[in-house]
Amino acid sequence: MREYDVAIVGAGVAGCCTARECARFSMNVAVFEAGLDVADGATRANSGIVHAGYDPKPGTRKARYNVAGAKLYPRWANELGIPYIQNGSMVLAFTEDEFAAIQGLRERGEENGVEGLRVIDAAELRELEPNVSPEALGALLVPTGGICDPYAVAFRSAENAARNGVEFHFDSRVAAISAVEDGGYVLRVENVDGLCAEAVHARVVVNAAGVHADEVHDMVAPHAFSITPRRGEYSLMDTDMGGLFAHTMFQAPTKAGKGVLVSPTVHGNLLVGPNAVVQTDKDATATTAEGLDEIASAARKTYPALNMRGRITTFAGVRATGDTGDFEIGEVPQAPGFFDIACFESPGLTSAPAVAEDIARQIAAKLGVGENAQFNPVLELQPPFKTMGDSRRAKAIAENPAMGHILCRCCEVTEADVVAVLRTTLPVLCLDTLKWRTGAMMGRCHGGFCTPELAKVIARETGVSPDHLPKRFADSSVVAAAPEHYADLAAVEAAHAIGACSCHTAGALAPEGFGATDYDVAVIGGGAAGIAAAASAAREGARVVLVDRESRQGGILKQCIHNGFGLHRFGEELTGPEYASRELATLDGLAVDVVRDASVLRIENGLEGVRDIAVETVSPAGERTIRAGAAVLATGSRERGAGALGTPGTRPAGVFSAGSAQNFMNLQGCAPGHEVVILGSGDIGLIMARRLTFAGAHVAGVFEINPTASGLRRNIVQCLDDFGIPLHTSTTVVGIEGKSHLEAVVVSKVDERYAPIEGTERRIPCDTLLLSVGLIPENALATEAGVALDPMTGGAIVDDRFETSALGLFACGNALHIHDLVDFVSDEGDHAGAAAARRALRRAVTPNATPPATTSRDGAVPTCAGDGVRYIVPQFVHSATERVTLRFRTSASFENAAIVIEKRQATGEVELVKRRRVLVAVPAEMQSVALPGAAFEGAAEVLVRIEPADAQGEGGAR
Amino acid sequence: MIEEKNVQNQPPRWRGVAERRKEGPVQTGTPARAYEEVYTCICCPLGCRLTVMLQQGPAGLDVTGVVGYTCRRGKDYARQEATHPVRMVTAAVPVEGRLRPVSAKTAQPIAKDRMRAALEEIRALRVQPPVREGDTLLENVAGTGIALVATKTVE
Repeated sequence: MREYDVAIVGAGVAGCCTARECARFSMNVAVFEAGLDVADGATRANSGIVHAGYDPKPGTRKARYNVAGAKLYPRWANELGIPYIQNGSMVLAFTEDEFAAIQGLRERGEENGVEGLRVIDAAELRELEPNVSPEALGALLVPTGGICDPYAVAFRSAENAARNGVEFHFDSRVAAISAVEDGGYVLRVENVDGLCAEAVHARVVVNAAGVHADEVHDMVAPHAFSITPRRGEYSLMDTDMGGLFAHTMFQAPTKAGKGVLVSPTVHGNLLVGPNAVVQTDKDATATTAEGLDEIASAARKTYPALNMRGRITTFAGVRATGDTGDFEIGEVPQAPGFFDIACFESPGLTSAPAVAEDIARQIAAKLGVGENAQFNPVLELQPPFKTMGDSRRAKAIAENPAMGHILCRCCEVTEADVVAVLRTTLPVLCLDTLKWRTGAMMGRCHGGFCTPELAKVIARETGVSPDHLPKRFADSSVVAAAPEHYADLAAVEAAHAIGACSCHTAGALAPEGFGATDYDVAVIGGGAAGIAAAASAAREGARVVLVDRESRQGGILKQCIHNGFGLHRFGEELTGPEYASRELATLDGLAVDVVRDASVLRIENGLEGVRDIAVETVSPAGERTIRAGAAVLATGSRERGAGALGTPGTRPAGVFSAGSAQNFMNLQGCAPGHEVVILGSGDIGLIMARRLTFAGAHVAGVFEINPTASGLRRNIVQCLDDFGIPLHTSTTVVGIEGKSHLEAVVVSKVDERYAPIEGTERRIPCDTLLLSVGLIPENALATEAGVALDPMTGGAIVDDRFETSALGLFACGNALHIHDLVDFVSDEGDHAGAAAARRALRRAVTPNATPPATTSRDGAVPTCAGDGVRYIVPQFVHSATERVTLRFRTSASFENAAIVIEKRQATGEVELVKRRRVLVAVPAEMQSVALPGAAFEGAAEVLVRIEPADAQGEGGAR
Repeated sequence: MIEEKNVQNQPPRWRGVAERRKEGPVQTGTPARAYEEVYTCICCPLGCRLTVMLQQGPAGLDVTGVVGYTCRRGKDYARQEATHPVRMVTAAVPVEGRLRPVSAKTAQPIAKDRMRAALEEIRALRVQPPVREGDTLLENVAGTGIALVATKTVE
């Protein structure tokens, strides 16, 4: 039997901080954790607040440890590198009663020893926080309040402890503890199946078992407290909302708790929540529709303009609320050597460092051990790429090219960051651990793009293939099946990528005199739009650089192995890879340099010189700022993911965005699962229904929240009808079940306002859920560069030359608006590339003028979406342009209708420009009308509308 | 399983129309049956609603008329769907020693009723690298006489 001085039960924040403090002494310490990672319970699912200490009742342990812990955070953060910001908090008062209550809080805080508390009035409140609700009467200002990354508190404490000799055992649930006659305790440790039971002996036991701490206490001592699990649900908003508030905004507390807060996070997001709901299951972390609605409306009290559109994920944590009203901390009188850290709900996170110091000292005194001279309180982890400054980055990439290879582009996490995390002392036993320790998969796309890439890196480094890699809990896997020897195959593929193609392929006919960073046109994105733009720009005479984030170009086409591409552009039907291959071939012999595995970090326009645009790139070859006379944003789109949907329920393995599943299947030969439900009748979902059926899976059905299908009719026929897969419209998924792996979804019919109709719920057992619920144009770079976006398309506002509002920046393809036919994408690329080239070459002959940053719309005629039209691209047209193509989507389905294009003169008179009958027009299929620019001569506005069948007797002009 | 039928998603169905006697020489035995099939054309995004009039003739199914098409392709597709429906089959075939499968397609659409057999054959297929776009992976898929060809290059 293994012997330890100290056995710590639970690797939450209490257990990890205590482990670290124990490591200061000469003791043998082991931590036993039931889950696969630290912080497996409430520690990773809370508000991340380092409370100042005004809230707990004076004289309680909560009060004492809260204030002591808050004082320790700056030092712990410094030594361990924990993300921590003392941003200050506020407690808002909306009524006179609440205003009185916060005065009470101030007094209580002062009694607890909190410094700097001050009650502020509405005027000062608004000055400090302009986005707060006008209904707030005032607030308690708490300068010493802070925010932190609670997972990092636990992880870094644990990693520091591990490097100082503490053992960590995961998948090791303590099933029983019994006192031993000559002192100490024997613990029976089991894995998740209840097998592999092991007995260990420890002189001292620390009970840091979270919601189960009462059960663990009861193993060795008379019952002293009961823990009631109380669920708190949260919504996490995107980083573009992170700047709305500087302080953590509380509402005046009620009996139930501190109330719903709205707070920035240390990573720049906005966090909203929690509620407080008693539940019976101690481990259930499912969110609920009611709960998420509850926190949203409560949060609107603080921030009325809160919009769930910015949400990137939801989660729930379970508090360990004790029935004694206070923490239960210290040696249990009836069980010598057994220490409780129990009932550790809020302010547990804040208190943990202080509790840990205290307990560790008590244990050391009890065991009579001295200090560990070797103890190193400082944890140094390889700094992640995103935290590095420019010069440091350049050096880091030179030393390790993988530091320049960005895998998660939403969060700028590089391959080197991932490898470093896979090599820490604490093991990485599941995909979520990698997510939490690198930040990858936590951004806008929430893993949609990068999960397949990360699976390969994990396999290469650890030998674990994605069909054996748990997502979070031990009995789950990221995919159902993967090719044999996946890890070896992934290593071979990586070697090929480095060996076969260098990062930089020089194009032909490069003119003399250009440095490696000077180009006429920089094209960002090597998918269909970018390739066409690059070729077109080069044919106009420009020297072009094409920057793509992957090793192989072609973008999403590489994984679209089905046919249906190219009918318009090539007159034949090709598969996606063939289309990409044809388009790539057009670059041969052209002056286009291709830079691979390269990400663009920033674009800036309006700079001095001929090349007034700067494009900052990073790749394994290093950092490089490209200067160009024009840039084309062909950055494509991302999928709307599970987090953005916020479907109530659990977050098990087996839920994929459709494109992610397509990548796993078509680029890695994996099988996502066997019993499949698909949400969303967009083309990707339909294509995957067929693809999965071909692979032998059973697709139970495709569910579409709208009353009509979103995808192309041909796909309904070829992907669903052919296989008898039912399509259920006006139906959506309202619940996800399954703790570790998906077990079922609950679907429900919805009414015309998309609200679920009570009584229509149906439970569908399945192991795979594919989400095909919308594509979002990828415009983070564009927004940072000052490009104005159209809220209807999510893409840039452009004219018929595809120039955005930022002068010299052009946009095309899915980044501009979501397409259904790649042929149109290439066509846009052709025009945008040519226009960009012309702009750059024109600039080359006027080298001294520093241009304005904004595109002038003088002489441009705005287009306007009339009845039946949802949006139009471009938003501006010029009569001087030879041929203008208007592309738009209808807002409803029409049969035997007419597309009517009119121009309104400055006088107000409306004149018909073109009328075209259409047999059928549906929102799922983009319309395209080409016109000579001259047709818009003299117009003040161009109107595009749909004339339904019954209105056609009225004739042309109105 | 399906609670309600949805217009977008109706598989071709047999709408029995009143029997019509064929003019001219009457065939002995089987009376001529005339009926209609409705399809959504898949040739282009218009997705025209095609109605095909069919008659059970002595030599098999005869197409007596097609309505609803906007172009020639639709008319041809309708005839084909009603008499000899065909489908393109695309697949991802594992390549020995490589993580990336090679994507492949049948060189032409194959008979719809051979799809299942074709997929079984393809599922059993293993390919050695290098394989180039356009390479033939299978000469004769499920006895259709049509080849399976690679649509990308895997070195």
